[in-house]
Amino acid sequence: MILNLLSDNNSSKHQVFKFRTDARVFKINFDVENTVRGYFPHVGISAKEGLTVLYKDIDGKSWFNIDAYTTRYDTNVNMTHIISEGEEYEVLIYGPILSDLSKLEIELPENTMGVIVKDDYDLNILVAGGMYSYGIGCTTTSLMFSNIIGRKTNAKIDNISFNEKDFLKRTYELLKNRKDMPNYNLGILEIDNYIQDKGLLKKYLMETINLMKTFCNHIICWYSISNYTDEQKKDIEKLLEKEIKSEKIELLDISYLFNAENKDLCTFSDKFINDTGNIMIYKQMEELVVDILMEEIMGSF
Amino acid sequence: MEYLEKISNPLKNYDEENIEYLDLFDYPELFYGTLSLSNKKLDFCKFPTQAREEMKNYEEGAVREMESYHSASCGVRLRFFTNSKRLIFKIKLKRKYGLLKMVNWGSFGFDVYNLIDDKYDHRTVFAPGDGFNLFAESIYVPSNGKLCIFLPNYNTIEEMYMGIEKGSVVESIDYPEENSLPIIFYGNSVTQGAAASHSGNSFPNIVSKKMNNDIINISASSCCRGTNTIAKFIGKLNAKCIVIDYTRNAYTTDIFRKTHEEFYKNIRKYHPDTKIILMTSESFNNWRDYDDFDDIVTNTYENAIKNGENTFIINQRKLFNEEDYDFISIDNSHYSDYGMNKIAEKICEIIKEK
Repeated sequence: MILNLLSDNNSSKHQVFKFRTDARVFKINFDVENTVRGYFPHVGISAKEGLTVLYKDIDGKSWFNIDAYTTRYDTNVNMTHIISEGEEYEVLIYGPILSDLSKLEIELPENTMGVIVKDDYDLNILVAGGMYSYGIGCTTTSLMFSNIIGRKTNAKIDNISFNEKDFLKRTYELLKNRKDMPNYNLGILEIDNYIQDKGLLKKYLMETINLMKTFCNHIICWYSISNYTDEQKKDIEKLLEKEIKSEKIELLDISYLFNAENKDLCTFSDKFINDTGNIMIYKQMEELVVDILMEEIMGSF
Repeated sequence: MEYLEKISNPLKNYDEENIEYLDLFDYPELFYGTLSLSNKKLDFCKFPTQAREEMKNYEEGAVREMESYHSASCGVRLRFFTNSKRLIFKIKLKRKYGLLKMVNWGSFGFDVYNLIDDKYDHRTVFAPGDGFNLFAESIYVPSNGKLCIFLPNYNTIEEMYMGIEKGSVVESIDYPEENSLPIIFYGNSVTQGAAASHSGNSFPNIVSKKMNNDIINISASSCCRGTNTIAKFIGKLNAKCIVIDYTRNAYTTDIFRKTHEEFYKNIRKYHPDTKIILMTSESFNNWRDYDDFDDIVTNTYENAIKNGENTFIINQRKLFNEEDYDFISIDNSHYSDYGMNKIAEKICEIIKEK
């Protein structure tokens, strides 16, 4: 049996797929195209052009890593040491961030079951921002903070980040031109990084937030910058003062990743965060996100 | 970074006027964590010939990985003082292409720290991009002139030149006397350093940084088989502590049951009083066989305790909450820096224990 996971998806980056099966072995057949070439010593090969695969028990809450794959290596998955005969489980696949998936099929043995899982999410989260939100600095895509949040809260993550200097301007333009935006329980916006022109920050920050407010019930704004001065931080707070006071947005300064205590573990240099930087961003946001999402869920009763 | 066709070629992007080059292979005294101090030439190989040869008794993967990594510079540090204000490195590596589950700054990274007393201040990391193995990189020297550079965990340095300002001095920086006896690590791909994001963040290297202590990391992916040859080899080295991370490379429970305690006892014979830490398996996705592996390690440990030996155990899985298993490692076993740090903290805690 073949499960075609790309059947109704457009080719794009940051894709997430799920299926259920009782097969104790399966093969992943996939191809990528439009791989971004360049100097990426801080991005894992599977994050660039491959897949990261996890599983969980049907009734379980925790996801566990299976492995990471590229088309250059064996893509047979052997679950016989983990899954019992006849046991059903769920598989989660993250697509690459620097390539487009052009094919993604799961080849299951005869007499086994396989069902594509769609829209079983409890919540919708929009993630927007620059290189950190994009996943630059991650060994595998499962370690992107946005994907950790998605797994832990069973949220559908719509990642529209840009690995570009003018990411806030690009975010604004994308959101402005996008028709039929779905409603999101939460929007998470990375507002600045070390490389963004501060003129663009001033010009597009409120414009972007105002747009997001029309389809995000809650918004978290955050930044993590090594050399941000107190004055620059105050400028940001001033820009967002009204929104913060009215409790419409939360502002998180996660620049401590770059301080003397944390930089060795969480960053590569004063420019790039690593897997652990992403884990720490998730941990910083965890309580806030859960509170917001609980409010969303309770509010719907 | 500038890529080169020949290591002797003049550089286009860096000013080499007033720079003289040292062939670092002629300065083994600047490197820590190798076993080549008695030699005149630097030698990164940490596996005796017999240990390399006996990989032929195992599967093809072990032979291939030993061939790739017997002279990898995992756990090796270049520690020195210089009054040169800047340095230019010209380096030739063996391997050109990155590894599937590591970033190049982790596998091939030259990880630069400023030594401030006994603390390590991370400054930068450099490594070539995919497809390149011959390159030059320049770094500025911090004001106190003290650097510790952790070398690539998953590559072999074939040539390494360091350009200094003419007339400058370069002197090795020894560890404090009480920290000069090395901590020895013997293990698998994780112990070798997969999947630390930069070279200095493998757990053996974090232990070295946290304790400002010398280490020797005798680890090669897929090649940790607990053989008598390696036991004897480790037995003859002086050590402050020995960390044995031998589990998953045994592949089958039967082989592991037959070899684990014997391997431990063979090392213990040579080191009757040395602190030895036994590690259970790194396995974070409920792979059932590893429950048996961990029972075997626990059994070795309990027998050692009954004999009154100076032996400790770290249960790697129990160090973490199960709900965190999806981010402490990048796959079912290879730690992110977050996981590496937690393991290193536990090892340091045990080593410091009286």
